[in-house]
Amino acid sequence: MSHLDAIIGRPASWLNSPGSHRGIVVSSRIRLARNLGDYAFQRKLSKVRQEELVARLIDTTTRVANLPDALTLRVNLLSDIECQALVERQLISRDLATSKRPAGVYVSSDEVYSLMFNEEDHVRLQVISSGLCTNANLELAVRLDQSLEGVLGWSYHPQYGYLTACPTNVGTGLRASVMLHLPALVESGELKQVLRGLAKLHMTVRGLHGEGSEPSGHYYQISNQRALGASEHGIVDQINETVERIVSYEQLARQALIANHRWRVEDKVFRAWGLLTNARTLTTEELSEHLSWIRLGAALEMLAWGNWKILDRIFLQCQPAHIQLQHPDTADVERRDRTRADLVRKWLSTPATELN
Amino acid sequence: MLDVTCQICAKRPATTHLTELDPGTGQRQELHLCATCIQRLDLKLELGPPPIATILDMKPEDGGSVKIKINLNPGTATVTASDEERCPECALAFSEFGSGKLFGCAHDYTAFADKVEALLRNYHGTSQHLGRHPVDIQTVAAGVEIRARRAQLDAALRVAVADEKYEDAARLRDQLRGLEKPNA
Ligand SMILES: [Zn+2]
Ligand SMILES: [Zn+2]
Repeated sequence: MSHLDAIIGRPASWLNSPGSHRGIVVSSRIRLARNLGDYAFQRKLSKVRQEELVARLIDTTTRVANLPDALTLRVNLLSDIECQALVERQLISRDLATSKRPAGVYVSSDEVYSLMFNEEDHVRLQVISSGLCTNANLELAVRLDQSLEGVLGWSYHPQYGYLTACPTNVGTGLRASVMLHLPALVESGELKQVLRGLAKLHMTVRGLHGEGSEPSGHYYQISNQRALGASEHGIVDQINETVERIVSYEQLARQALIANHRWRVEDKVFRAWGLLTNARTLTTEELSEHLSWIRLGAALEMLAWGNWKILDRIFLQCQPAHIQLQHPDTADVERRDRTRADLVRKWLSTPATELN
Repeated sequence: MLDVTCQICAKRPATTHLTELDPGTGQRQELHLCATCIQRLDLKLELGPPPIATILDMKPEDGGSVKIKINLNPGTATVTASDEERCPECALAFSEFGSGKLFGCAHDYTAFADKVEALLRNYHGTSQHLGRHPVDIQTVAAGVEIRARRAQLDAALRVAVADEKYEDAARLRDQLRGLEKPNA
């Protein structure tokens, strides 16, 4: 029943580089955690009730959200690789992908909206898009949340707000995250200091794929830690302010790198270019590291080549599950690494005129 | 810190000591790690150490397993949950909450009100929600609550007047007036 093929080969709209702020801000995401009053939370809900919950949520969301060409998937009926591909596209959490419990996801055709059913909370509503646009995403999320609420009736406490399985999410149920590309701050060693400052502001930092993932390719996700005690707009404003500040640090670090060690940056960028246009085998980590330097090279206009669409395509389509779903005989890591190198060489040699 | 052996490999001396205090139960959890295991698990401690539970769930690159091989606090670990207070709706005991930091049902917020209050203040710095509220619940629930409170105050006021406790009566009248104000 998987209609996953329909989306896997496509670009994702949240990945539309250079995003904003000269390639530093990749994407913004709003997530609302919600629970139904008449079901226990996940850990105390029987399998039968979980099935019932997921069916009800799929039914209601399909009717109420009514987004054209939306995709509804029963996550527990997908293969491990298909689940992983949804994680790679930022549509579901790693937790949902690996749990074998009844679960569902509703995805709008542009992948801007995605609703996870029976994750840690009954509903996790996500709005994600390219660049820094937490405010607009919040508006979209709230509008959909309100129409669902009218039908489903979320669990709510007059003092604590929206009730969630984990008390760290209680209140607004909101997590606003912004994904940043910070190669210069990492390279100059200033990042640690910046990150330490974030903890004081009650912000958290994660890797590319959220909860528990390691930072790779100089990508960092900044999110609010606290969901209670401030309004939704207050939380988003604070994230925006923080992001603007980190962006300005990254810009300063880039300027300093260029002013003091231009040759060193150029060396990294051109080595990355040389490697990616010639390698016959590439691991995910190698690609992620070198692609990051090419991204920086494009942002700084060091490379004559600066085709953002191709960079995004490589970023998305060369992830392990994306390769495995679209290329036969790549279940084996060695074959996959070779296919990855082939795809990267082919796409990097596309003349800029062939796209756009 | 005395010489402690790494709890992951149970071989090398530990160089890093993590301590975690559960804000709910006040229970202390410690994890002692050696540099080799930190590297093996690819723990980027400079980014802030992950929760101890997360570390214990990790799969090292070399395929070995992460398990505490030695228990440094024997006897203190488990609290028996049998005679503990439980949520009447989902039967969760508060000690069970500690491990995954997940509640069993919405009623737990009421069933463990004191602990929840402390937990929220500790994590969020407050326990008062200031964000959006459901339109329906806001008007319906607030209406019900205000009516109930008014009936209560009315009754108390009548008793106070009958007992000639005029100071109390004045205070109750003020409170009743307060209820009339919108969004009080
Ligand atoms: Zn060790
Ligand atoms: Zn309960």
